[in-house]
Amino acid sequence: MASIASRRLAKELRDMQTNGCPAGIECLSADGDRWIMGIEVLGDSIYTGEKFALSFRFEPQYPISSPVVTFIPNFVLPAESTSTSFNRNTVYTTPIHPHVYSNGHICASILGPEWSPVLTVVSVCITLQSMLASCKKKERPVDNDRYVRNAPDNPKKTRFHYDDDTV
Amino acid sequence: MDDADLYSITEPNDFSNDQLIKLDSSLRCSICKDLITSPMITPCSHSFCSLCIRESLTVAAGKCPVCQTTVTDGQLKRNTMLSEISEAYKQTRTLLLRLELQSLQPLLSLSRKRRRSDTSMESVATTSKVPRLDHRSSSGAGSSKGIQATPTKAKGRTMVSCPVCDDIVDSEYINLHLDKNCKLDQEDIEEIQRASEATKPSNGQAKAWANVFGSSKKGKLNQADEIPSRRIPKMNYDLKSLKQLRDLIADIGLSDKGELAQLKLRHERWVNLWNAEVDATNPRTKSQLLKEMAEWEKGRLKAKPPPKVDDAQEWLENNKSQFDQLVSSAKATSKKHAADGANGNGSNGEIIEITSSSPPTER
Repeated sequence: MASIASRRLAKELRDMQTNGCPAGIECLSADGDRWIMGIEVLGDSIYTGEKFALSFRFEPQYPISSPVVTFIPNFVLPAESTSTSFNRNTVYTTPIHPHVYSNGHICASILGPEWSPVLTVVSVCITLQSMLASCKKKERPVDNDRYVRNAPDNPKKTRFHYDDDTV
Repeated sequence: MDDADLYSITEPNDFSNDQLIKLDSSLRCSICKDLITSPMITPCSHSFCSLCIRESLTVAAGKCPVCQTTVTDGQLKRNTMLSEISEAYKQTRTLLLRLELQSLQPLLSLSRKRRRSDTSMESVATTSKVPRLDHRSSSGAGSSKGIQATPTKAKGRTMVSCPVCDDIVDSEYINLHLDKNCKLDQEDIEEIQRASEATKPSNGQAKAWANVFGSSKKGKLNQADEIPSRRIPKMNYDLKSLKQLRDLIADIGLSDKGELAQLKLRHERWVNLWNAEVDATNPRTKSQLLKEMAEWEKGRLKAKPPPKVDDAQEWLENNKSQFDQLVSSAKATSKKHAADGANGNGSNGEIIEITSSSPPTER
């Protein structure tokens, strides 16, 4: 029996293939429990024209447990990808945002204690898209350097403190 | 991923009609995205599969996955009507898909087809109780498949072809065949017939004896055939010692190996699985649940593969440097402890434990 996690992922993937992704969101690769999604902020924002790659890693307990989601620093489109909006010769980096550390870790409550199993890959992308869109000032988190030096590989092991509801 | 099984995955977009897509997606659990099984409704009026919501509440500390309202598993109520709807829908889904596909096919040589299907409809109507809807609509749509269901006689029985899968099936069993999603083929049916013939003569006698001695089945009902009927209450694992928990798990019939955290996870999963089965209309037996637990355990192991050791001696040699390092560091700390005047015996035991537990096969 295929596990619940792989069944659910297969359904999400098929939904994306048949219905397409929302504007500005694209699936760059979906390899088993590791997916790469591309996001772009549309409309008027300080990130207009920039594109970012998000890495998703799913645990066997998905969707009961949240996926591990990070921005990919220095992302280059893999050769086998068929994406048309991402350029093969460009290196994409992480967004400069008060909730995104330079190693790609994201401080967002829905990826931690506020994760809900009804959320999907696409809905996570939409949330992060709007997190970027509502940002007014490009800056790194205040404790960026300290965090990046000691950060665990898995951001789920970090105890983030969620304090800012505005961005 | 198991590829063969992924073909069985269904999705609202299997349909092309908007309303059918809507119907299909509204009968799905928003956690597993599968058609809902033994639905439970929360006080905030959201329905999920029993197992899904129980698992979710175990992990996400009592919050509804949709609206974040506080929910405890004691507040969950069976949603019987939804359960009936979804079970009926599961049975009809393949038929619906087939019908939709047929209605989309171009209307080819309609008149000729109609005449032929009309005759087949008459004959089917006289011989069996095949759902009529199927034949009527396909006659209008003009599909050739499923319509060539001219009943044939075999071994004194009336055989018809199934409107869904085209299998030739005994007309008396066509409804059963459809109910089982076309998985029941003619061989199974013959087996059922043979079995029922074999038991018939003794049946009356057995019943009479059962009245005297009580149901013979009940007496023989061993633990493996036990059907979940009463919920297991949630447990406070902090109040249990490792041994108590281990005994409890062994009593159920599960593997009692592993550390406290693993035992706790295993028992939590068992309680959820069991309680979900209590909510089911046709609960599975305990042995089936134990089998599913074994699958689940396998899935968890796959996620974190332990090193495979075929030859313990070879493993020891290959990892000798690592073990030596561990031993020497352990020795160093034990010496330090001894120097500090700490208990020498305790640290000695520590070394033995490290060296003996190194090849995983010996556990």
